[in-house]
Amino acid sequence: MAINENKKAHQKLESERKRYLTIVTISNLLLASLFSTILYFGFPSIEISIALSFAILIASSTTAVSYCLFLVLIKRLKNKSTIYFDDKIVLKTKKDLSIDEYKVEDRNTNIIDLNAMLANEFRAPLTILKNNLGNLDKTITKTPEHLQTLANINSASFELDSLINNAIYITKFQERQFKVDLSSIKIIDVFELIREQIKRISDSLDKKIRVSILPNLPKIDADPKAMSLALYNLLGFIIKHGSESIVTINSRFVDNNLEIYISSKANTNINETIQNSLKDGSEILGNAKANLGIFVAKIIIEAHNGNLIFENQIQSKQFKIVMPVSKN
Amino acid sequence: MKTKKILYLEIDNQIAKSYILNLKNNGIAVDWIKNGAQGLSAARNNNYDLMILDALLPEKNAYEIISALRRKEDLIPNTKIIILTNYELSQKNKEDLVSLSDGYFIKSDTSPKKLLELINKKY
Repeated sequence: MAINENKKAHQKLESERKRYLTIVTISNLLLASLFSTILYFGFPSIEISIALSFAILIASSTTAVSYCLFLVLIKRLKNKSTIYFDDKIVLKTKKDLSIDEYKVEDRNTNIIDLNAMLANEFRAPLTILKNNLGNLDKTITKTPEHLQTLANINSASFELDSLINNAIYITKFQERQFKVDLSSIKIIDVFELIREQIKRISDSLDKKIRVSILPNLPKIDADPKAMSLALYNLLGFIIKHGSESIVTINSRFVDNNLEIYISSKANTNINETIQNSLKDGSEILGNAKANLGIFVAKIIIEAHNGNLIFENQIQSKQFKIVMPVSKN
Repeated sequence: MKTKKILYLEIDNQIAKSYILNLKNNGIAVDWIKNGAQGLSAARNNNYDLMILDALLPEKNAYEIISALRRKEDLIPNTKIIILTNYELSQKNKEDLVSLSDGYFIKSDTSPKKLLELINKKY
């Protein structure tokens, strides 16, 4: 699932190119030997001889054309750090894999396609991003309509960033390179990092967020970027799938732990998705009934020595995050 | 020329507005409703040229709406129906929807411009 690990893709393609070159060379030698044999000994039937020569000619030219195309592909891949989400939207990344820009561009080459499971989750923000980019030139600059279009682009870009970060975290998790950069921080400050983006999702679906996190709660040792992604994933899921118009996030201090609750009334059909998403990694990946965002939230929280629990109550569904408080 | 009138059922404000902006700019009248049950009622009580609906909607989903409108008899014979969704439906559900509707499109593959072209050419 290395969606934008271009360096690895380059290495893989380079080794495939070498293997391809060897196969082509050997094939050509064999074809040349066969052709020489035909010419030397001849065939009893002139028709068979012509047909065989023709087939060899076609096979050789097809090989040559596909080889040339392959070389072009490698050259393009080496020159660009580009991911095509589909035919139009292009994501350009920097060397450190951070997002450089999104833009609409005609697809002219195959680079790296997203895993089908991820692509499903990408569809909604992609639609918003594409449509608003397309509409941008139809709105008059600095009008409320124009500003709203820009805000929608910003919001969809953030959601795509989060999905990409989910993919990067999963890749790192699979390669056992997942690390967190801890600092002592208040949970309300982690939430503030995503407040605006969460508000945009909830506004878009006519939902309300009720935040009841007291500012004087003890701090936790957390990686702000990773922890905010975990909260964003869980809140985003509940906002999108909860049936009630109000989603609540609150927290309390219990037994030297900070407990954070994200709750709402929710459709019963999300239980299976959540249960699937909280299983072990090997059972999640490739499971269309799992949500990658919840799975990433789980691995992030567990990397902080915390716990993510799903509480399926009659009246409501809630995620409970248990985090040890900071010793500093 | 008669103005085309469309009923659009979509729950996501941002997605809905991005399509509606382009449709209205091109002289198409759009009634936008976010709720499946209300959408069904609007479809029965008005004469639309086209109905565009997302697969999953509050109260009634696309299958329930189309079934109510077309399963036994076609209650809206002058209205075409297309599905515009991002949800990956099961093969069975998709086949059922396709058999009762006049088109099935994925939103992320259908730009506002493309939707307008489709409406002008096919619907």
